Amino acid sequence: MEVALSIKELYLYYRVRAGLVKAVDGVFLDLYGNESLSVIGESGSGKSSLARALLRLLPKNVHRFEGNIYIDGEDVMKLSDDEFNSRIRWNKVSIVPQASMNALNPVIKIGEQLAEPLIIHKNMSKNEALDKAKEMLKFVGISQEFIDRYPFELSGGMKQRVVIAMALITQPSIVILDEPTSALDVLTQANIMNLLKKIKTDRKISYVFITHDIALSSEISDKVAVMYAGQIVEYSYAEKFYREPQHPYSQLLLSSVPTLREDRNVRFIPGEPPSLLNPPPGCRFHPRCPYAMDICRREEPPVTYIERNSYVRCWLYAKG
Amino acid sequence: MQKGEDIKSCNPSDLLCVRKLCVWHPIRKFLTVSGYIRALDDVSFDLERGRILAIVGESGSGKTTLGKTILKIHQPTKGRIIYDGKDITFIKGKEIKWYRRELGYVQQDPYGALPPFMNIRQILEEPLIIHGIKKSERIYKVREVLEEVKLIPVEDFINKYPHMLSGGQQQRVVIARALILRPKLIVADEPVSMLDASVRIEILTLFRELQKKYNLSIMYITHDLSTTKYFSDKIAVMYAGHIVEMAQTYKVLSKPLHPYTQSLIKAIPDPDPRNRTLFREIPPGEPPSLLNPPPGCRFHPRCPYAMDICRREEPPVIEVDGTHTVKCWLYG
Repeated sequence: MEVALSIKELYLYYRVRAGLVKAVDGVFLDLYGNESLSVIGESGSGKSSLARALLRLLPKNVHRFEGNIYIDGEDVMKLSDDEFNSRIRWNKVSIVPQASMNALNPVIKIGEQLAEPLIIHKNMSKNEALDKAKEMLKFVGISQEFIDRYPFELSGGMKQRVVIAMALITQPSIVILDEPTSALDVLTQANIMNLLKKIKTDRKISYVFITHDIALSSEISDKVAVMYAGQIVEYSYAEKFYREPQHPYSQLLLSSVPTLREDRNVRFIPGEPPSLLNPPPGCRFHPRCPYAMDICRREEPPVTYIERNSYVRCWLYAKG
Repeated sequence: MQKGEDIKSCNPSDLLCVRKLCVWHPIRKFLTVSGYIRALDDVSFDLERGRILAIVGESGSGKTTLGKTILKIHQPTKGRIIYDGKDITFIKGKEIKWYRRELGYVQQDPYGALPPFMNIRQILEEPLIIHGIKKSERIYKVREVLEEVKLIPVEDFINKYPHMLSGGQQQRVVIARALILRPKLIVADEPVSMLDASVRIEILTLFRELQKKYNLSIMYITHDLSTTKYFSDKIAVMYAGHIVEMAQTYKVLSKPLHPYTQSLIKAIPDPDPRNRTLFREIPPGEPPSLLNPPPGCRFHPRCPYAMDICRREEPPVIEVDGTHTVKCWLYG
């Protein structure tokens, strides 16, 4: 299989009055075509910043944005903003944003909003684009008459389907899902998850699924990246991650998930996540880690590969 | 006559007894009322002392309305609320003040629930001032309650403003404020849904400790069935303004009777890598409008087992195996 997305040593810092926020601090990963990756972590771990960096949707106060992002083999960090917009954004990578219920423009008809990416990024005529929009609506399970409706006439779950249709309409190879179901009801969420799984099989696309809900992440992940304080501390295959997480933080995260079917004790992670302004020295997790050793307080742990394409950033696994 | 019968079924040792409670919001068009939104319809339940009752449902099911009606924020249209042996359904004025002192309220969004211009000491003192506690006692009580919710050392927090705290710490302040008057009943409306998954268990564990320490009764309103397993004794499942199923927590979770409860449980994933190849059988559609609820059983348009009678007649509340009640024709 080909590598669809490859990130190497990516840094994204923001400048604020109090100093530098190190939101993404040396992230690297590989994702193959038609694979889905869940990026999980607590709020403030940098997972949404990573998503925004992939689409280059950045605020004005960016201080440092460097590294390599290869999409279908091409280093998109070398492209100018105009080139990125015309060739990559929505053509190759699109996003289903957080709180996407509010992502729709309330005064524009559903069909026109859905057709817009085609007109802008694929230079289609309006009529052609509207035809495609109709097809797409049907694909996500909304009847075609809704093309002339306004967002307020749709329920939350339907709006979510429209936003998903919008992310898919230009046939990108990678779709970023940034907490796509956080505002939805349990049953609606399950229906949307079913839809996302179907899309993945039908369209052979890759997902980058950003969430703090670990149980939900298992619904569509082939691979899992656990983020902590701007870094990926564990990168693993789903089969392995949900059964035997390696990093102490991943272990605690998984044991904090309440389960309905299995009987086990839930524990919580003591302490608070660190500030991205002044991350602790050494391993960033050491103040909350039950296994913290002397070296963890002094030196940053190296990346240790457990197997091919799966690594952990922890002194417990460091070799030699 | 009717009223008397309703109340007779209440157990005097229960803290809260709700019978046939209805909350209908009128829709006014100019001078006439054109219809009612039936936010709550015929809701009955009991809450024993020192127990946690989870009210589970989707948005629009009426669970928040139920909580707010118990808090006397919404006025009931019909029915009875008996608190500690007293009928408080239509109390006013001074009696409400007495009643509110017995209750604590934990809101969903901690940041929205805390006034941004007051520091923690002022926020926690406010209920004490309203209920006329002497100044010399107040600071002592504030410190005590902060220690209880583990915002320690107290000095580090007492003069801070809400925005300086993390979400979990803010929620602790909200819990402290709910507890400071030593209430007997707490209404917790989605107390952890705005928090990170890893902090949720921490807050619920703390809540459970305090509940045991003070023998509190809690109405835990939530959409998340998976936390109820760890944090409730009894579950009431709500759909479109009705309680459709009620029983002890383990019974509802291990042997759900109502088709709606069954699909709710089916919809919740456990962390398991096998989930990605699994399609969940979930009823399509959305909960009905409360302005024009469907005739008969309100779940029938989405129910996989809908029969003829479900479309015509509203199902009665049926008792299955002792304390397990379900509002469904399948068991009629």
